[in-house]
Amino acid sequence: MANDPIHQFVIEDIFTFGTIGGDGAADTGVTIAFTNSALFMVLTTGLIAAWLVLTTRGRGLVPNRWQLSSELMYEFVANMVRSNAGTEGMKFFPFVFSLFTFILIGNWFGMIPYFFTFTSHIIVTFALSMLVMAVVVIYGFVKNGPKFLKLFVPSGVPGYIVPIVTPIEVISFLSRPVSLSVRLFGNMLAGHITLKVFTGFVVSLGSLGAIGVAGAVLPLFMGVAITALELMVSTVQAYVFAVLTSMYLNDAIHPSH
Amino acid sequence: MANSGNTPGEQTPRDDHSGPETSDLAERIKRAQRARAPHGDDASSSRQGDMSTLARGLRIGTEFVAAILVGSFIGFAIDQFAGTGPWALLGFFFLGFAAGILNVTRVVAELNAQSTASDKDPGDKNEKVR
Repeated sequence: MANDPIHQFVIEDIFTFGTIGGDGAADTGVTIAFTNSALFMVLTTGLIAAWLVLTTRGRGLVPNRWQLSSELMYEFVANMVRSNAGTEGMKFFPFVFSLFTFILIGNWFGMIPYFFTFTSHIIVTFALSMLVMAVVVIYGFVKNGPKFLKLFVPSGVPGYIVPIVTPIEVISFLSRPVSLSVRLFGNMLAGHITLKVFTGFVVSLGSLGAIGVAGAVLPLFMGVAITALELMVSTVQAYVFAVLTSMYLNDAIHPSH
Repeated sequence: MANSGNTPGEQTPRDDHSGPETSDLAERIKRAQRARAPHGDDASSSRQGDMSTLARGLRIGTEFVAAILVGSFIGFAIDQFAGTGPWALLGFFFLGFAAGILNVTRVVAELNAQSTASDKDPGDKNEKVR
């Protein structure tokens, strides 16, 4: 069906590398494939790399406009990391910058018609947030040793409260990757479905003759408005992901409330 | 810059070095230096810039729901392995609920601290609008 609002999220194999396991019959084992999702991740990474390499090639002391665009991006992310994780957090700047630009450009790519939005799949966003959590936990233990566990015991709490508070703090910590990934995935998924449904109305109403065409103007306006809203949501969600990443990294650097 | 306060009425002679343009430049240099200076490692001075209201609301909602989901899942997993009926699920559901409230209070406290900080020094506004 041409008007299916979910169809845009279907993952299709572009080419396969082969199948692991299974008994040779169809649909058994795990097929390793290069999908449309992977293609757009590669395109996103390629675009970011090309943008950064090409714009900073001149290395002018007085930057031209292209160099300024990448310098502004650097300043923006650097300020975000500094204000949320302190100066010490700047050693994670490459990590946060990569995450931010990857999600931002990926979200923007998804706004182009017929392009695939890889951030609308929860496994992608969950993998990204688990990467953040892995960095936080590993770095926290490497830097602070067992003192990292102080994160789960708020300071100034009487001893008899600790057994009650600690499980709550642990669950609160474990809920971070879930909320981080669900927020990004949910925003992108819901936005794209809404966009598709409203613009689908234009086609459906347009086939109803003159009155339908007149009525189709309303969802058309709505579609334009939602496109603008979606562009804003794409940007804000990439920003929120990066801000929360640097705040969680702050916990790993200074594990006390 | 939006904050250059020299209207045509208050022009001072060119050779006066404390003229509005010079002091404006000094002010801008000072502000740029302040922005570049290390903020120390105080996390409470964290600023998130201007997040939209929608993003703020969604953030609070997901923080709450995620904690309940994680708590319930832990309880369910314990029940599956230990065969303890619905009790671990029930207990951890409420722990998850408490963790969700904790998450929400943290987010709201953070947003409140942000808004009071921006109320206190409106002159800082240029840094925030990014």
